[in-house]
Amino acid sequence: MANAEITVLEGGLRTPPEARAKGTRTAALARVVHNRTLLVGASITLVVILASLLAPLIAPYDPQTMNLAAAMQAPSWQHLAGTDNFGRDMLSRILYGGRIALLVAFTSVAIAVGIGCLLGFAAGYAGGMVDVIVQRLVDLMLAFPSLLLAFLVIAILGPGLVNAIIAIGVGGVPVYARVARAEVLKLRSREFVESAKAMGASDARVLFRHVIPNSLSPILVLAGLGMASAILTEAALSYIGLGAQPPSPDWGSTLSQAQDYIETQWWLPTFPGLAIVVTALGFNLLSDGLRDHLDPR
Amino acid sequence: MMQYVGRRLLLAVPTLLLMSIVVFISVRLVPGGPVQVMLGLAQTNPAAVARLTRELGLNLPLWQQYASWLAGVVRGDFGTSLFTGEGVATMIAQRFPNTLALVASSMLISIVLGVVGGVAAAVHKGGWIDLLVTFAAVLGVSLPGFWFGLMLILLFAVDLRWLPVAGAGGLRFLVLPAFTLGVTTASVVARFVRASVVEALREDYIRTARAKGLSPLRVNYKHALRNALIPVVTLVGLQVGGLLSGAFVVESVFGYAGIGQLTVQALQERDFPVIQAVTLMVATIYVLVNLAVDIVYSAIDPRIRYE
Repeated sequence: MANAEITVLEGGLRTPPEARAKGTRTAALARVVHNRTLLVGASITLVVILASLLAPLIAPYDPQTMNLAAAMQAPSWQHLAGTDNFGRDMLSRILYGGRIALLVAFTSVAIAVGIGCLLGFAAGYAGGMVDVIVQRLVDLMLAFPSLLLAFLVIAILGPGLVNAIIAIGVGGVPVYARVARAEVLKLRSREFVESAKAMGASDARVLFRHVIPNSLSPILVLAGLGMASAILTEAALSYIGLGAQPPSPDWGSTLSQAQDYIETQWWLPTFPGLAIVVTALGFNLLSDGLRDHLDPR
Repeated sequence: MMQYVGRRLLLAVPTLLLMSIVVFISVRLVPGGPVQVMLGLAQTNPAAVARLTRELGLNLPLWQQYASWLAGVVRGDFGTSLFTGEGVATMIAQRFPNTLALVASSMLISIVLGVVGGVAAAVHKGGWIDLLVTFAAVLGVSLPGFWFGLMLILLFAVDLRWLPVAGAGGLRFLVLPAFTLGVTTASVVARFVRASVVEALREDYIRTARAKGLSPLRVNYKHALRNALIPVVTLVGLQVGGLLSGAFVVESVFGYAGIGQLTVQALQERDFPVIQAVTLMVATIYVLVNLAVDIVYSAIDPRIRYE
């Protein structure tokens, strides 16, 4: 046993650095392949992102062009997801709707992560009064259910897609602030941070070079879950008329209009909803898998 | 114990006061202010603006406006709706029982489904039941509640004609909305219960119980479950906020006359007194429920009080 350990150790020492790096990379790749959740989540997400980005190339029709002669058609080879009451092709609208969903998700999560981490890192690293103020602010924001916080922001700014993005972003701030602060507190007393400080590194260098890069994995996992939740919230806001407005091909807004035809045109509410489920599922699986990958415990 | 309860209650007061300030200020932040929104953005007659500002007391110093608004709130006076002229407190009182029934029944559904599913998955960890429950739970958190509601309407109201499409009234109107809201919340509960039971099954006292030769049924349900369910109390408390805000959207799907539907309409019309009242009320309920959960939790597990 001891011999085997020594051999492994020596083998490790003798391996040239570039081969070792390659070995670690292969091992990491092997772990990704064995992590089915991560693989499925990443594949779904990739397909959704590609389909949305390539919408102008792959959508069979223009999402806004009306064709009353083709109105209310059930799914067929010509219109795979049917057409709506204005004869617009539903598949094309769903593909273009994906662009809106992803745009909202990325920007609102960026707002939440940006502001949240800034507050959290500042509070955790500076401590003292800064920490007390940030903590009170975060507690106050967490005292409102996040959708209610989004409602409050929309009440101030008024309905619309941009305001929905801001509302969802602001609603997510306290969660990231709390996690970022906890990570900094955990890392602050670790040896590598202490030694960087002892070597005379400036606060900014310690924070940006040592603390932040090491605290990113839980934030990354949260951001993935946040993407799914942002897509669901935006769809809900647009559905109740507070987000994207018609004739936008936004999924929530399309579903809101589809409700009037639910008794006769089953495909109108079915497909945009499935698009939301698949997209949210992709991001949820991706972050679940990512969590297992980054923290195998 | 009484000291702990008293301290927690006292700590909730500043949070509630701060929340009231946020809700109060938010309406003052509206571009053009509430007067401009009430009069319509096209209205620029300075005399009309000045008159309404005086009538609403908006010319007074901000702290004075807040004090008189808060005094009203404490007395249960939330002002009148800008659109119907009805008292906001009356509007809420009429609809609140419906929302309460919806939230309570969906919470019951979510606890039953979530606990049964979570325990079954944990006990059969790695098996097909676990895989099924875990997948159903991820699917559940990826479901937009309002769309799931639409699909239930399509199946049970339009196709099978077992239940009404929309409205509020008897139990028949409650089934679909409660199930819609309950299922999406059950996923969160199931994931949490599974993790908690898996953790409990690894504990030393479980090994002792097994070593004593107790039956697996007794070990799983009597020993592991009882200990694993303690943290679930907290989670259920946290879900109240999610259920209340979920009810806002689900009520709109089913045309269910609760405070959610009222709020969505108020948001579309920018009826500020209604928005303020509902926001403050829901946030207060949320804080109080979490306070109650903490107190219950500390009664079950006395270690909490000393932390």
